[in-house]
Amino acid sequence: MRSGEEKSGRWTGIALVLPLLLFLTAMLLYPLMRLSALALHRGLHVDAPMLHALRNSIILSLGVATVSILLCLTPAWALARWPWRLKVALRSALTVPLMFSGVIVGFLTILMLGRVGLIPTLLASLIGIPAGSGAAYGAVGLVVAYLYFEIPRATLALESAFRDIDIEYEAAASTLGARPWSRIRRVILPLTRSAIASTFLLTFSVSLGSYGVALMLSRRFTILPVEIYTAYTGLLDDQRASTMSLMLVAVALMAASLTPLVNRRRV
Amino acid sequence: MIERWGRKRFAIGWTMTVVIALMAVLPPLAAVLQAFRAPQAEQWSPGSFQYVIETYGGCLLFSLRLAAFVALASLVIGVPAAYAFALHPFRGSAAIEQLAAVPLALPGVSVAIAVIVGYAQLRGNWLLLAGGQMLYTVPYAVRVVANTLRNVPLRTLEDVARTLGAHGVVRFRHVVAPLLVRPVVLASLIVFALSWGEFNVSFLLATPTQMPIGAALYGTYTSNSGAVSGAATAIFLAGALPLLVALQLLERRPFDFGQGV
Repeated sequence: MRSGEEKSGRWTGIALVLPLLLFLTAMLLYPLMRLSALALHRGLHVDAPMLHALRNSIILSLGVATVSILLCLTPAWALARWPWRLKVALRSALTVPLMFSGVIVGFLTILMLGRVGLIPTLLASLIGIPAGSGAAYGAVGLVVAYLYFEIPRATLALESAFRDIDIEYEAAASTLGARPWSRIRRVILPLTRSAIASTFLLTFSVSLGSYGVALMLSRRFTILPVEIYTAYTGLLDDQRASTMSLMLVAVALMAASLTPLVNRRRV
Repeated sequence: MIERWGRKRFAIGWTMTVVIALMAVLPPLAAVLQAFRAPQAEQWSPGSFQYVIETYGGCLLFSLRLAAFVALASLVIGVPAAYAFALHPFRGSAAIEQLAAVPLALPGVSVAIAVIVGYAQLRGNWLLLAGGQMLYTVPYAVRVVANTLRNVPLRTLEDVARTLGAHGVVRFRHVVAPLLVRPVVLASLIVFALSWGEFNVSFLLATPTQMPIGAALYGTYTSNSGAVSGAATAIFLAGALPLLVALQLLERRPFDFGQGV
C-alpha cells in the first residue's frame, strides 16, 4: 500500500513541478539555446574590443569583491557576534543600498562626487579646495559606486554566515591559551573560509552583471554588460550582442559553478 | 575578560560598521532632500514631485500592475513546485530545483538579450518583460516556501491527520494551508519588491509605453534636473521602503535582493 502511495506521490510531485519546468524551458533554456545558436552562427566572432571589455569587467569585479571582503570582515563579525543596542538600526541601514539598481547608485555617485557634487562643495567651503570634483566620471567614481552596494551586501551575507558558526570553538581555544592572532589564524579562519569564499563569489557575480552604474558614469572604461547594451541599442547588431552575452553568461556560470565547491558544508 | 585589546577591537569594529552604515544611508537621504530644492524661486517646494507624478505617473501605474502580476504568477509557479520539492521529491527533482536557481547567477542584460533573440516576433510584448523578471523572482518564491515546508514535519502531521480520518481536501485545508500562509506572504513581498526595483533585465525588455519605474529612472536621471531626479528617487523609495520594513518585521533577517537589482 505504501509503495502504491509512493508511486502516486511521485506523479503528484511531477505534476506540481510541471509549471515551473515549462516556465524554465520557455524563458531560460530556449532563449539561451537561441542565443548560443545566433552567437555561434558561422563561427564565434570575438574581436579585440570584446575581449578588452571582458577583461575590464573581470578586473573590476575581482577588485571590487576583494576590497569589499577586506572591508566587511570586521563589521560582519561585529554584527554577528558583539552585543550593541544600535545593531538593528545598523543592519537596516545596510539593507538600503541592496534595493537600489545600478542607475540609482550611479545617480547618487554623481550627486555626491559630480562636478558640483555635495562632497566637493562641502570640502570647498571647509578647506577651500573642491577635492573630488568630477571624480564620479572616472575610474575612482566607478569603483566607489560599486563598493557602495557591494560592501553592505558582503557585510550582510557574511554576517549571516558568521552567525551560524559555533562560538564554543573560539572560547575553547581561548581557554587553552591561544593568543588572539593565533585564534584568528587557527580557529576562526578555517571555520569561516568557505563563507568568505562564497561571499566573494556572490559579490563578484553581482558586480559582473551590473551595468546601470557604468551606464550612468563612464563610457570610457568599457565593461561587457554596457558593450552588450550599446551593441543592441546603438549598433542594432544582434549577433554582436549575442556573442558578448554568451561570453558574459559563460563567465557567470563559471563563477557560479565554483560556489558549491567552496561551499560544501552549507546547503 | 574584556582586556584592553578587546575594548580597542570593539571600538574599531563598531566605528567601521557605523561609517559603512552612514555611507549607505546619507547619499539617498541627500537625493531625497535634493527633490525639495526648487530650480530658482523659493527653496523647499513640492514642484518637482508634481512634475514626476505628471510625467512618470504612467510608469508608476504600470510598475504596480507589473509587480502584482509578477508576484501572482511567481507564486502560481513557485508554490506548487516548492511543495513538491519538499514533500514529494522524485528522481530529478533536486536537479530541477537547482536549475530554478540558475538565473540568479546570470547577468540580467545577457538574459534580456537571450529572451529578445528567442522571441523576436514578440518583441515589445509586456509578457516578455514579466517573464524576464520572473526568472529572478520565481527562485525566491520556491526557496522561501520550500525552506519553510522542509523545517516542519509536514509528512508526520499529514499522516497523523490521515490516521484521524481526514481526507485529502480536509488535510490540505487544515494542515497544509495554514503552514503556507507565512511563507507565501513573505514570498509575495519579496517578489513585489524585486519587480519594483528591477533594472538589469527590465531595461532592454521595456518599451517606451510599458516602462517600469526601475528602468524609467534612467531616462529621468539623464534628461532632468537634480531636483526632478531626486523626486523620482524619493517616489521610488516610497514604493520600496514599506516592503522592506514589512520584510524585516516578518523575516528578522536582512534580505538581499541579489543579482536582479
